[in-house]
Amino acid sequence: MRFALALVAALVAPASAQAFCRTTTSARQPDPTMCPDQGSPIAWTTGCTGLRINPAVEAPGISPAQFRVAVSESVRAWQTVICDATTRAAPSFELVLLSDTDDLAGYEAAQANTNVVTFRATWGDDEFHDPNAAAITVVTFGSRTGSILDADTEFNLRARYPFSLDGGPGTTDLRTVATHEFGHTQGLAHSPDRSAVMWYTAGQGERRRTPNADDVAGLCAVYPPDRAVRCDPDLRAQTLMGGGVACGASRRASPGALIVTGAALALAAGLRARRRFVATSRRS
Amino acid sequence: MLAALLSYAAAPRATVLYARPVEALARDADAVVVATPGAARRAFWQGRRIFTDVTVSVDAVIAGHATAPSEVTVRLPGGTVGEVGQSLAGAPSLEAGAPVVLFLSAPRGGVRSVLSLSAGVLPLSVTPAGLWVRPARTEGLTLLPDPSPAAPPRVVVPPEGVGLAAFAALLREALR
Repeated sequence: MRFALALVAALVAPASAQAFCRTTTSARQPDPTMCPDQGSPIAWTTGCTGLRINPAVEAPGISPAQFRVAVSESVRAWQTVICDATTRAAPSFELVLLSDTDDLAGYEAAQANTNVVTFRATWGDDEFHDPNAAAITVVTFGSRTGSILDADTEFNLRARYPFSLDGGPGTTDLRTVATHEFGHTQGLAHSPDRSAVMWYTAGQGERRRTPNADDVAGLCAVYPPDRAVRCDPDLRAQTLMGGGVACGASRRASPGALIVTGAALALAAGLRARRRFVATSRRS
Repeated sequence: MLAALLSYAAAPRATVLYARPVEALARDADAVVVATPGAARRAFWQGRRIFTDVTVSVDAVIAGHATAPSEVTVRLPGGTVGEVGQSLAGAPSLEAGAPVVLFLSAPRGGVRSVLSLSAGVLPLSVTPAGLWVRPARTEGLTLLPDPSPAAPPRVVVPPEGVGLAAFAALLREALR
């Protein structure tokens, strides 16, 4: 069957594939091997955004702690992207995994919103949750500005292949799917590069957990290192009203969660500062 | 038998979907119809999500429970309401006036859904030989192979398409 898929993919792949693609406000990519040709590219305008796991639904064989580790590793796969091997310059945007939440996926205007990552038990109850889908990411954005306001990733608890931590036979590798989904969270669309995390097919048990050169080029194009924004630690701990939460605390985050959040953000800020220091040092 | 090269009812952009053979999708569907979407759209918030209702004219019924001619409302995930847009990668898109084969769910509250997101929409094109069914556009879908133990798929939509009449006959045969 993998061969059949590969064959189909080979038949539809363009001879001269363009590298990475960006998601646009048109929300359409009629051919996954070609970039969207309508609408404006969407992106976060902030220097970072936070993801929060809602652990209310547990997947068989994957404990909440293991789920968190898998999500964390997928986030880290994007966090460690370097745009320039010489200067070690990093993208001007990063995902940060914050403390857990009990918020639900979705977007509410004029309120703080959380980028939720979760397993969902019920599928087929509305048009977003098709039973044949293993995972979805719903992105909410400003229709005129192209600014991403919210992105939620939901994994199907009743997926035909159960999710696993190792991508073993008969299972779907959780980290491969999560890393791919978080690419979409950051505004990347499917890539025509077959070895990219953002390529649109995955074989059973296939692992593609690390952004390749094309994925890196995509992220760095969307968020070039010299973009004049930064992830302000002071802002990160605040709940921003009237739009998405940019690395902010969930409106339902507990004081304990805020401490964890602060620690995570401080660590992320430290890592980022170190990378910038190294980059600055090398330039000088 | 047309088998050999199968056409999976394509799969989902931030969406990971199982690529199901056409006949499997047809078995899951309440109706498989030839339809033409209208221009009127109504996007609205329901809870924390945006949905868009599209009225489509059912021109012919290939299988299942529907009547032709008739009009049905099909609800799509995502859309734009005012300044806010919401997208689900791989969501079906129905272009006004562009005929399609739709794999539809049973009506819920008078509204139907497209099965398997964009995989449940097969575009039709007008050729000198008549209407041709094209493979589903796999827009926004990350495809995983269908894990159902599979007899070789019997309904095939090759990349160049297949005549609507032949497609319908093949599908009806497969559903027997």
